[in-house]
Amino acid sequence: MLTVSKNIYVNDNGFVFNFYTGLTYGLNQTGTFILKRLQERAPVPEIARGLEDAYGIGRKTVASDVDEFLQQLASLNLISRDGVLPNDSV
Amino acid sequence: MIRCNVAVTGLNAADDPAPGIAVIRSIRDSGQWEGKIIGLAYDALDTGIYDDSLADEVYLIPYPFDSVGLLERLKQISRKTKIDVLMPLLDMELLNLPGLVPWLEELGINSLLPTMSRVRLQLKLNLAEFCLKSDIRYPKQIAINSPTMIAITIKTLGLPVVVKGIIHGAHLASTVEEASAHFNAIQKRWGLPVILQEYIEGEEYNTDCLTDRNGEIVGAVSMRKLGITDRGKAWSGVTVKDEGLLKLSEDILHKVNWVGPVELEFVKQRRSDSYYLLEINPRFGTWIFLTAHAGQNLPLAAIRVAMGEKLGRLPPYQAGVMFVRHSRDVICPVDCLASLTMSGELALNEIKKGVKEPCLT
Repeated sequence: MLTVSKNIYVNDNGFVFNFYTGLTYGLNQTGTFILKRLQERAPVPEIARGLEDAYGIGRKTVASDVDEFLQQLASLNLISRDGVLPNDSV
Repeated sequence: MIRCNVAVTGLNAADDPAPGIAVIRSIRDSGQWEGKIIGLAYDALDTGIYDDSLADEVYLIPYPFDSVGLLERLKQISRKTKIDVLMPLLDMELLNLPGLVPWLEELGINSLLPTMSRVRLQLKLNLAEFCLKSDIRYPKQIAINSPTMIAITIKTLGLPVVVKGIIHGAHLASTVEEASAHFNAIQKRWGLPVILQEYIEGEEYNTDCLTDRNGEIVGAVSMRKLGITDRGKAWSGVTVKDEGLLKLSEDILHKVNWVGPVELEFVKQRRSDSYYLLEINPRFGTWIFLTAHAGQNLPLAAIRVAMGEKLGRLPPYQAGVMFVRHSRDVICPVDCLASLTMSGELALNEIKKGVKEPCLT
């Protein structure tokens, strides 16, 4: 189950702040869209379809790019793919 | 609302700022305090003296190593203005003031200080051994008395290396030559030995805490340093809510049995995500004003505890509150400097009222 950290703040311009670590990140428009939709608990296939429609990109490419982005988010503990996030307390 | 006069040291906020100004601003901004702020300064050019929003009165005092002179001066000041609470905010003051508490009490001055044995424990030379015994991660360090030992010590600790004074001061050195230059500067200012410490790469975090007279935590706020000067001082930072860091901080303070204000400095090693304790500072940090605006006014709480109130645990603070420090010029009549240097005291606002122009026209 994919879980987004409760510890993060994301604004519309792609600024991400982790309340737990104090670290900040910058996302592009697409990354911001994906993370915000994840926060809204949108399923990944639905997010991917939204990107396909918005950018007119093929399904395979979008699926691969989204997956790579989710891996990056997971490596930063901003999301978890197994539902477990360390110190997700705020 | 608490009514009391508070004497505060650490008024210099030049390139190596002391916490006095941040403490005064926390108290004044609280809206829960009435009284006078009495600034105690060692140098007539301590910057905070000349900001009319800070101290109501300022007095020059002798260095705390001169216990007799310091007590005599506090007695003189007390005859003019009642001091209810004394809040020392410089590391070197804590090496002596805890031993003077009975005499301070005779003058009616309350304080909230750790015992001398606790203060000695936090000294950089003793902290490594304490951490080893207490299972607290601490960087490897070696104290040396001669620059001839630098090269061989660096062979053990590697480069870069942190060069530290026994009381204050820390510089990062990337070469033996740089370490030698820092060694000489630190030796000149803080004496021997000089400490060489393993450099732990990672993000830096501080926790400022207040414990009551029984060593129980009243409040604790953690902050990640965002901007750091070449002296290692935080110039901007943001509050974080890392329960693990807060628990580690509280565990350390319970092990030390600390009483009063304290700042714990950590680095979170990038490689292992583990926190290493770097220092225990026996006073609030220079960024303490942030705690007041994040929801835990630790300086105000310290006054309340010093005045005998029993405080429970302060409510949780807010993560994501940021501070940025900036400096600005303060203008005042030269009479202010004259007053301080000639009589050792200054009531800045009274002088400002009586002088229209600070210079000749």
